Amino acid sequence: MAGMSSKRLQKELSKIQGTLPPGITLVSAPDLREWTMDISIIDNPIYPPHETYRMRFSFSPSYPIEAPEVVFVACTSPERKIPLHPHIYSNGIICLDLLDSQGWSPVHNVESVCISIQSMLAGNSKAERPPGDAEFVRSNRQRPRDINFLYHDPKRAFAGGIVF
Amino acid sequence: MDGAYDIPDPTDWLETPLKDFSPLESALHCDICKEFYETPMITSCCHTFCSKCIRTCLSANGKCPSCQTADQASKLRNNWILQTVVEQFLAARPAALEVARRDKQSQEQAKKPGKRKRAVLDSDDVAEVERDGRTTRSKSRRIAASQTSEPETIEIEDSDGEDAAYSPEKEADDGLVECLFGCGKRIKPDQMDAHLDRCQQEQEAEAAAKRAKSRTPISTTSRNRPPDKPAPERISELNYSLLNDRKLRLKLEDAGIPNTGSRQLLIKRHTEWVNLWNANCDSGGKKTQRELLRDLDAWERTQGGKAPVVNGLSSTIMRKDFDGVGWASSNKDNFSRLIADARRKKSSPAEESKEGGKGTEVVDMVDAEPQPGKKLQTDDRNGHGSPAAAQQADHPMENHDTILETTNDHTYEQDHPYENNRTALSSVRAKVAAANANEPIEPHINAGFAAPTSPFSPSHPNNPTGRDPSSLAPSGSDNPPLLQQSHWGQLSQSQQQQQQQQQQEQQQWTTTTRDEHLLKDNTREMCDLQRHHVSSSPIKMPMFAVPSRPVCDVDGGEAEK
Repeated sequence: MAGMSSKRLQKELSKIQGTLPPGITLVSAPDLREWTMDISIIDNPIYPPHETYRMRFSFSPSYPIEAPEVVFVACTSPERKIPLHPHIYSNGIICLDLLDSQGWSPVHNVESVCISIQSMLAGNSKAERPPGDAEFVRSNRQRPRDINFLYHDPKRAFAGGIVF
Repeated sequence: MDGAYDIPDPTDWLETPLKDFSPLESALHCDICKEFYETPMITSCCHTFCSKCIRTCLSANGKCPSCQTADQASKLRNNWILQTVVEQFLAARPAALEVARRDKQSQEQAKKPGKRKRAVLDSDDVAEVERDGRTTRSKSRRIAASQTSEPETIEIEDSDGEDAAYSPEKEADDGLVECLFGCGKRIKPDQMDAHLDRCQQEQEAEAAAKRAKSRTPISTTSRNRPPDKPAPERISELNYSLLNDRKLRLKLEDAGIPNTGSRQLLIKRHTEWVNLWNANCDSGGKKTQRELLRDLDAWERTQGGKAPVVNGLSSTIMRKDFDGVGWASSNKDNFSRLIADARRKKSSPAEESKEGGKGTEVVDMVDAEPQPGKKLQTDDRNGHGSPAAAQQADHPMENHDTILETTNDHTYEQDHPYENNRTALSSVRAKVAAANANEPIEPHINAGFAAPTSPFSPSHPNNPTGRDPSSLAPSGSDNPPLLQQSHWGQLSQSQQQQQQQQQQEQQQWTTTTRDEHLLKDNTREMCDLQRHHVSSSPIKMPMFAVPSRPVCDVDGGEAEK
């Protein structure tokens, strides 16, 4: 339907502006196309509690049928880094099947995606980048949704590498 | 309700005493659109969504959004009871919310000092008692006189809406007893028996009335279920891969929807139409075809062919559904001129006229390819690693330079100043291969040419004088300058911009090994200029009738020398 994406985003926005789970905050939502959210991770020594990570959500007109594009962004003021994680490339691209066209489902929403990423970070035990990070970051010009990620472990919901 | 713009939301209930209505209302929302269910359909995995929502989802990836089980749109079934529940809830909602809100107000009022204690204790009954208070006594007296019950029922309801602020203070110590059946009336003890008989009848009648009242809308809606007029037939989904473009266009025409645009757009539009149409069938054909067409037009404007291009990353990356054919036809003039020029240059002056004819013959084949002309320039320029986006104004000069550098390297090259076109052609071929393989066409494919062209770097010692374009013209045919002029002098503004953009893309892609890999993938080998020089076969054929004889035409001109 024509206004499906904007209608639904409007609803989500009004809900998000009300209450959000701890550690997740809405930074800005200037329009219904791109939002930024901050998340912080509690209880994982890899991610100090005072550090906050910024994510950018980009919605296509086909949202929620199509997944939003979610990447971590780095900025200086306030300082936001790209979290260290075996499935997060240093350019902020997240290898998470939830965000892929195969793993995405329209029942997800911004809040549930945030929670998934938060739990993915909270459950992480390796402070490292994915294999081939440097090469990928240097060469990749594709949009995250066009990248053909290979999810090694479907049961874990996230895992991965890239298929060239 | 507050006003016309008051949008129902589960949070409305949170401020009222009926907080539990919030999750109830949420449960009546579709998980996809987060609105109240509209023509709810149940999947074979027993999840329920709006008809339009689930149809769109299934046509997108064929899985249930809730449990990811594969499903088909043809297996959806109406969830009538849920539809009724939603309709009834929506009908009851405004009144219920109003009562809940008013109740909250009266609760706050009741907490003020000076009110009766009982009112404070049992806030739910307050309004009722207060409202009924006055009629109670008069009625109970009448009850004693006559036993007719029906009119009195109505009388009670009439008084319902009256002053909630009516103060029942006088009744405080009048020695009356509250009705044991809980109708809220106060009766003299000796009249209780008579009242109880009456009250029971009254309540039964009231309950029956209520049942009848609440049943009416249900029966009307359920009467709609098997619609009076036969519901329109559902359209079956098409297997688009079995249809060629022409048949697909015919199908769209048959359906009465626009059949313009690229194949991809046609498919998307038809899918949307099928979903709209079938969702309408699910609802029993509430909408007319005209309304559906309006919906489709709205889709077209937001997500279809007329949708504004979402910018951002897309300025540097070609869109996946880039309409190559459309682009090619809109720039047909430029392409055909460039190709004609290239052909003319390729042949010796004697052959020129013959070749010219060939050139036009080739054009039709080329039209299917998005940017052959563009490649022609950007490749050779990129090969030298020199282009900067800001130098657009200098294009003609710069391009002369590069051409001259290459042509003056060897005498051999001098006779073949279009050498660079060859690389361009093979890059185009790579694109054809990619397009045939249904891979997204990406500009980076050309990046691999950086290496082969590097021998002809500007620092080559052989050509100190060759930098003046005018000096070249007499030395060979006078085509090279002519070619360049036609390239750069007559290009439309938009095409120049396009080139500039292309140029930027290529700069980005130059260094990656992955590109070379891709290139190899598509062409089976690196583009190697030396090889081109050596191999030969004088077959003349349209340049782009390629797939069967991929190499011959590239080297065709070469062999003649």
